[in-house]
Amino acid sequence: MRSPTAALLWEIRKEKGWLFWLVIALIFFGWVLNALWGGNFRATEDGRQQLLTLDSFLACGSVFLVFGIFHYTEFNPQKQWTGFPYHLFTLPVRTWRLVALPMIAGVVAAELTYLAWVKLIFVHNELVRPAWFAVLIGTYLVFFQTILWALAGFRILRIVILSLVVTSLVGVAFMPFFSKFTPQWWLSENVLIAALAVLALLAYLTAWNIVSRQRTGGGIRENWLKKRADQILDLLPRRQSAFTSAPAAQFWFEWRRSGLLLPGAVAAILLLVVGPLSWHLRDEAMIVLWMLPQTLAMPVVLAAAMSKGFSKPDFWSTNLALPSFIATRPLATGDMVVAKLKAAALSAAVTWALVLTFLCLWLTLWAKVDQLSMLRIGFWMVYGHSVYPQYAIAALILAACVLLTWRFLVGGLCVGLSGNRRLFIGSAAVYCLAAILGITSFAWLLNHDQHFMAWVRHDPNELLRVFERVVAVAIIAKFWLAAYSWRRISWRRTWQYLMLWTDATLLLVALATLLWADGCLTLSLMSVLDFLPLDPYRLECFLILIGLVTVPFARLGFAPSALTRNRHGEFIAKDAP
Amino acid sequence: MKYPSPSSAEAVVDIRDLSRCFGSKTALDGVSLFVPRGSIFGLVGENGAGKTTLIKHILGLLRAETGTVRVFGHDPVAEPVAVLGSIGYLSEQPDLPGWMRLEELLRYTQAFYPSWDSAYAEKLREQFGLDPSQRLRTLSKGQRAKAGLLAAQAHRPDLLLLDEPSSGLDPIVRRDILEAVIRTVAEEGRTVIFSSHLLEEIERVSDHIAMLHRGKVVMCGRLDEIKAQHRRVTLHFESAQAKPPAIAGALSVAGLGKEWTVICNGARVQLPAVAAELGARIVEEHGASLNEIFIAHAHEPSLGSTGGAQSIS
Amino acid sequence: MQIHITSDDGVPIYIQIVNQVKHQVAAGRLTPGDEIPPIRVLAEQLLINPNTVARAYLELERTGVVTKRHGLGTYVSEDCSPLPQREKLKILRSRADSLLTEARHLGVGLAEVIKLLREHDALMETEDLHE
Repeated sequence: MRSPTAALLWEIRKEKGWLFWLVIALIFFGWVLNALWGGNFRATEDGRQQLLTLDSFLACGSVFLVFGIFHYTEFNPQKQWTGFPYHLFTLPVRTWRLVALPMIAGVVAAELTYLAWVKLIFVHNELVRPAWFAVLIGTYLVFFQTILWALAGFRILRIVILSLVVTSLVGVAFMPFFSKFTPQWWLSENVLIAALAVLALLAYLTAWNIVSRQRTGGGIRENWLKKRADQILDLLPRRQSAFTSAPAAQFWFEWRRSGLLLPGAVAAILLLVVGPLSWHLRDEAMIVLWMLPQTLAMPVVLAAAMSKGFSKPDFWSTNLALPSFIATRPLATGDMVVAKLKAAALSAAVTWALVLTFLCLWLTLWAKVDQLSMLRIGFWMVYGHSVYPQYAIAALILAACVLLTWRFLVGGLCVGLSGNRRLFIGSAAVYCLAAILGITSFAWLLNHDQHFMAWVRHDPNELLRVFERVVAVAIIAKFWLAAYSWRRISWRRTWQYLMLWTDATLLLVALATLLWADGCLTLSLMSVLDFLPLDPYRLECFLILIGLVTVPFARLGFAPSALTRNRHGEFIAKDAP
Repeated sequence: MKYPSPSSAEAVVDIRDLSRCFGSKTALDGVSLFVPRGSIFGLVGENGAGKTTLIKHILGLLRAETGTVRVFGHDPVAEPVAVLGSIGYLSEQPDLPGWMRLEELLRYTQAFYPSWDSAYAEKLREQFGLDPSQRLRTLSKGQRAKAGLLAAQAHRPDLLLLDEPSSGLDPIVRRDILEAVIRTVAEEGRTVIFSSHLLEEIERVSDHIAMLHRGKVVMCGRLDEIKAQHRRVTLHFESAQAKPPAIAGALSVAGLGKEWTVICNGARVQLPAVAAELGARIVEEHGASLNEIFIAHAHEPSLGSTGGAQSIS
Repeated sequence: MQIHITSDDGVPIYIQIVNQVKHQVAAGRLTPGDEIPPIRVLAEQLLINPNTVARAYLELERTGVVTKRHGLGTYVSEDCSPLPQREKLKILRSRADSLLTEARHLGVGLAEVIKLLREHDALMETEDLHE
């Protein structure tokens, strides 16, 4: 190594060698694909679209990989965060150089990749504004690195800000295209490119400032946010009494660790997004009808998004092994799992208490409830003027939502607690792939396959029959797996959970029955039923079947044995402890 | 919840023929150990010798692949609650959750052990000088070690398990830890197992030791017997030796020219004859310190007269 | 009672304790009837194994330097008069052995050694007078 620059670059290449090769392989694959079969594809309009989509996917994939190569962070065990590689701080290299190197190298690599794609693969298509995208990719990399390094101490805030910035930058990407419609001087490509260049320079200066502050130990403003948060938490009332039992102590531990996450996130969204939005748009037509289901669905969606995190032994660490602090407690593994289940249940309950409070305030104070009159009419038609079914349905919907939230929080425990990283990542990948494949193939089927459409139109209940059979098989599999996985667990526990499961399932079934009783279904799904005239009674049965599958049974039985294997070091990494 | 009291069998920890591999690396190879009740058992070995792996097997954090592990007569993997309820563990790695306050840590730990003594915990806390409302992540390394020791000791465990308790700590904290160890054993029937690099501590405090080298037990027995058996002998040769002379029964030979120092194990009686054969006489003899014994065994264990595991007791 | 232990000496720790207690009794730092600390306290103070302290106390009791009164503690023996003298001589005997061995190795004769001892004794006398 002749110079520090060469050494640092070599380090990047050595660490991420296989990613480099993957990028090059992707480019090569795209080039070969286009060279050999490009002609065939480009013959038809459809084919050209497909080729363009595929090429774009590959191009985006390779650019993302370049971003992955140059994220240039390292876990600092002293500060317990992932930020700028701290082991470089003791090298005799100035900070501006340390910061400039990965930025410039990353920009160069990204631009080269982009250039390769443009010159080799996209030769036939007229890429609109190639220079604009080049600048975009470069500046995005700089922003990405700056945010990663600057917000190293705030893990969750960093993720939130990254998502916000990504969304806004997607908007920025489309700005020059609007200059056709509104000819503003600041929407022209050249001005925007100049603005982005200036922003990139500012980002570099910020990154330099912050990294040099980190290098010299932070200074007074280090972690001021954490200190303020700690001070506020110090003022809150603290638990003073002793715990009644070991499982109670473990429940407290799980609650403290991750119990308030979901309620906190939901509260934040309600306060910052749903509340103001509902206020601003309160005079809009049908706003209540549109926002109500979204508000009800939001915690469930959040729980599903967080489910992988909650299924780990510790939400805040990426280590899947059970921490030895917990593993050396004289507590049975089953009790540990029960503590997690209880904490998740309380979390779900608190979340929905918050949502209920918000809904009460919203619907009584500033919502125009006459928009719900259509629902009301439907109700009266089915149930007459009595209010009890209304309240029953509302309560059941709330209970079902709590149940669904809890289901998503604990559903992944059998995988996350096992400590097997391959299983964990594999299951996440399988879910994502299945979702993507399912949606895209179904959409493609709907739009393209004439036979399929003819078959569906001929007897729409055929579709329902297929789904029914699938769900029936799933129910049989569920109970078989449940019998298998619960065989080792004590009878008392099994009985307790069986009672819970039965109650929850009956609740869902009752909801399905009440909600889709008689003609209620036809009213609510009029638009869908126009397109696909399904038999409403059949649909009700189908929904009851879905209710039977929803509440987790089998996978909770696998959780204690998975945690036992984790606790006794079954999936310990190959490097010695 | 009442834990079954440990049986009155002699051994607190009984390990037979334990082996463990991580991939291609052998961490433990046919280890057999016997820790008697009421003793202070020192576990000695260089980095990577397998001490932490052994301790993890005792705690049930690793399942025994081959061989058996019995703690208080129970298998720590099959009956974790019974075994862990009588063990106080201080780990080498900082594993206390940083977000907890000290008082929360004590309250949390108290719930798991019915034999928790609050007055004793309070006395220890004051003695260690720890502030109960401080968060654990703001404590220094030594204070965190003391907090861990406090949590491990306050329920008066039958077995105190310390994994390199003094590593990286200043002399004051080390003193506190040693005091805790001795106080534990002074109350009858309680056992301490601790692994350390600091051989002066082990020498002062242990009555049994085991030495691990590359996953094998090189030495295991009562400390005074081991020290009695190992002698450091200085030989004076008639003519200067160019390379280290091969002396039967010697664990290690070091020196220059005419004078060579030999550490021998139990072969003291034959040594004058052997030396006379090689043309040397004994000029000085002394008991070997544990440091010297350890280094002698760690360098070339196969030089010993029997090689491999030497069981003296 | 202040005792100092070194672990690197090669001398077993319990022997060091026994010797130091005997020294202190001989030097008058411990008078007959004084209580010596219980085993646990001394072990915690010196940071050594209580069994080692127990062994030292057993040895001291065997040689009659201390006596154990049940329930009350361990005390320095009352009838110490002949023993300390015997013990004093025993200690000096081992010193004499070391001195003579060293002299032999260095090739210094016994007469010279005795002359050296006399000279040093005279020096010490004059120092004592000056104080």
